[in-house]
Amino acid sequence: MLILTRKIGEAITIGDGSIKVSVVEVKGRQVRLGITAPADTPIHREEIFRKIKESNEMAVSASAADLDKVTGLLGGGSDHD
Amino acid sequence: MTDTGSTSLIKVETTRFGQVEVDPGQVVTLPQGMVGFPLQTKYIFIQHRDDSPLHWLQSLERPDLAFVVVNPLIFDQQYQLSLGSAESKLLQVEDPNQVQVWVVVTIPPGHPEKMTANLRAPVVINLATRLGAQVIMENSEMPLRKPLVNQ
Repeated sequence: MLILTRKIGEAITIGDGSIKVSVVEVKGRQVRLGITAPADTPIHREEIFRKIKESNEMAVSASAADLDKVTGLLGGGSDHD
Repeated sequence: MTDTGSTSLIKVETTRFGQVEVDPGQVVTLPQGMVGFPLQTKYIFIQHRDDSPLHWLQSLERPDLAFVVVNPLIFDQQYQLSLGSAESKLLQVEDPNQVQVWVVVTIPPGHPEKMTANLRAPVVINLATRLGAQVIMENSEMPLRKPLVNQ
């Protein structure tokens, strides 16, 4: 892992320079980062990204047989309003 | 049977369904893949059964890779999608009515009654461009594991 020291107001660029991460504020144990990236680049907090990844990895283990049981559970006329 | 060859079907190998034939017009492209699966970008939807709300989002590039997905409005009529500007741009959304929303279902092995849906990261498809993305709703309280069967 590359580790760099930056001061408030300083930044790093990633790749071709189209992604820039700057340090906006440091307050105790919290750091506020400013990120500029191409408009079609989603940016996420790492922990939520990781949770979704784990959730997806669990989801892909489903078998067709599981789904038959599940369809019965969903289609049990459980309409309620 | 006549074969004009105008819309030739493509054959796709799948682990769960064997070989399936797909109309190329039905293929959706997820430029960034599903979260955790960035290398697979081509998918098709296969309905589980005619009477089932469940569909498979089947990878065309990895036979064993398929996600169970469902329309979230089936169990949550209030479900709201918040699409960030990055995602809108990525999907080239011009008409919100052309957007189709799915959520990924997780079925714990042997415990189908404990299945959950991930409302936090829906799969959004722009039907006009057939581009899609799994959108992580960053500032949302939507549950990652919403139980689908009332206990």
